[in-house]
Amino acid sequence: MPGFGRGEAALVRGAQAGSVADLEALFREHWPRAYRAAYLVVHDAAAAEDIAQEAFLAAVRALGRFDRRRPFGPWLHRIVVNRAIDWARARQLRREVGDEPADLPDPAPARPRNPYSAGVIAALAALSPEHRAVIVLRHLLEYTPGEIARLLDLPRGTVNSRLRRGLDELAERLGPEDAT
Amino acid sequence: MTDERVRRLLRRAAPPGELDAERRAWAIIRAAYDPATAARPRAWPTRPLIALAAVLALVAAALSPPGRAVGGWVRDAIGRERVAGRPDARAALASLPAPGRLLVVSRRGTWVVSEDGSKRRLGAYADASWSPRGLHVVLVRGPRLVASTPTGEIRWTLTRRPRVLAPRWSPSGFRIAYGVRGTLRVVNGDGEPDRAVAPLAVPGSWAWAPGADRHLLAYATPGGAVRLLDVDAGRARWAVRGLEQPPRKLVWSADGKRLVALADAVVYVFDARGRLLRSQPPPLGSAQFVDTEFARRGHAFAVVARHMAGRTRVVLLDAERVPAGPRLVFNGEGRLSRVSWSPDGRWLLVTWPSADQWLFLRMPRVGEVRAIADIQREFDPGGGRTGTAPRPVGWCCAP
Repeated sequence: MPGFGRGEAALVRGAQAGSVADLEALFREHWPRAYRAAYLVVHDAAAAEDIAQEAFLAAVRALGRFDRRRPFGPWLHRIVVNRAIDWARARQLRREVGDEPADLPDPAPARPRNPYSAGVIAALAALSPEHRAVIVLRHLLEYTPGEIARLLDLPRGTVNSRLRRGLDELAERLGPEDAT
Repeated sequence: MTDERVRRLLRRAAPPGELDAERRAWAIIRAAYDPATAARPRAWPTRPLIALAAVLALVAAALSPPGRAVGGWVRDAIGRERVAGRPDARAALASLPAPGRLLVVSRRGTWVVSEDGSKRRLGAYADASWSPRGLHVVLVRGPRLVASTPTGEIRWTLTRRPRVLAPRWSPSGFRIAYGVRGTLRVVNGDGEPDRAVAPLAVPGSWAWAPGADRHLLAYATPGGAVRLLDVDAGRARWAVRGLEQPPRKLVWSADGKRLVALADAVVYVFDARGRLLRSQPPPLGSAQFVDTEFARRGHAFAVVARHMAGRTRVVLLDAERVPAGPRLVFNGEGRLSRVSWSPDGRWLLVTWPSADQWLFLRMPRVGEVRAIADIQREFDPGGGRTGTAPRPVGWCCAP
């Protein structure tokens, strides 16, 4: 699990006490991973931005009631990843019925900026949203399978099998290590 | 494949526009953060305490000679602000001033009010919308979306948990938009198929574009974007991001050429291609926008705006001229909440919960005001004043 040390608890306490600086520190700490996690599940920059942004807004709205004994990150990541899975499923459904993907002609081109990204994104895109989510939670956000099971309300065995199958498919699509 | 390799690859997979996204997001999060609210101490549940205080005060009121005055104070303390309203208000809603039928949601459910004032209760529904020609209504109750005739004959139902909200029938009659949690969904007018069309939408913000040859649905996102979605193609026509305040209601002009997005302290005016034409802060010293509705013709729209001094105003704005030239239509003590235009565009219905009155204003010059008193009892016969004001959700065409 990522580091939820005393520093984070102090930032949450500060933000609850009305400190904008502490809120900003909390945001800067968590935004990059939240946004990246959403992006790796949905593969749509605009949707990922909305999903991560909405998770932070939910956090800000609930800040006064937030239990400081609980770590902030897992709570945020749970919202982000579940929203991202819902969004990706909905998009798949639209494709199944013959429509084009919904979101969105964004001004920024929705294309990764380096060749490493392109390969990984394409390989991830071949997996289901559920498989992408567990891989992102395990290998980007560094949760243990047990923690992932709790975050997604899944049996631990399901998490393990999704991880195994997802990684096998990724390996097959990405080829040997020197190719990436 | 090693764990280390996967980790390395995922960290390299940089999303496009990462820094811009972070900058935009921080601006929105910062704007949503209120240090005073965040710093509010937790602990005591305030509502039960207020209720307990109110009960104790009522007992004191009953036992003391100046009981009536204390009773009035208690009503204020539990949030039922009361103002005098118009003294010339009629005692009952005996008729509507214009042809058409009104769909009203009250504490007792959803009602159809005919031009002659007769009312039919459709059931304990929490929200509703007319079909374009008024042949059907779509209703919601908990997780159920129900299509019915205005006489209460149910055509079909759909269940989506946990709760369905804000149904809107498209102008073509072939689609219905509704929300489930933050997701915007669309179902065909005959009840199938049903699908999610947008993952994040401000509840109730959505509005179908009139006059379009396709099913175009505008909606706002909590992050401050307004989007126009071609529902059948599953593709966005346009998106405007980074608005300073997230809009919570969108309304189209009748010709589909202007879209107004209402946020707490600003109104944005867009054209049909998504160009932000202008914006308007609350006019005439007001502090907060409450509701808006376009007139049935042209580009004028009525806006309810709350004033800091405990008054609320209804003003008429012109989408071509804002921020200049708001015209004051009504100025009342306390809280005004909603505006609805009659189908012929000659009357504007304004709800005034603080006075427990509805006002029908003859437009455009407010040549006449018809006030109806005791409006809560009108839609809850036998009930008391509960503080829950009946709200009109659509004034539709004559049958």
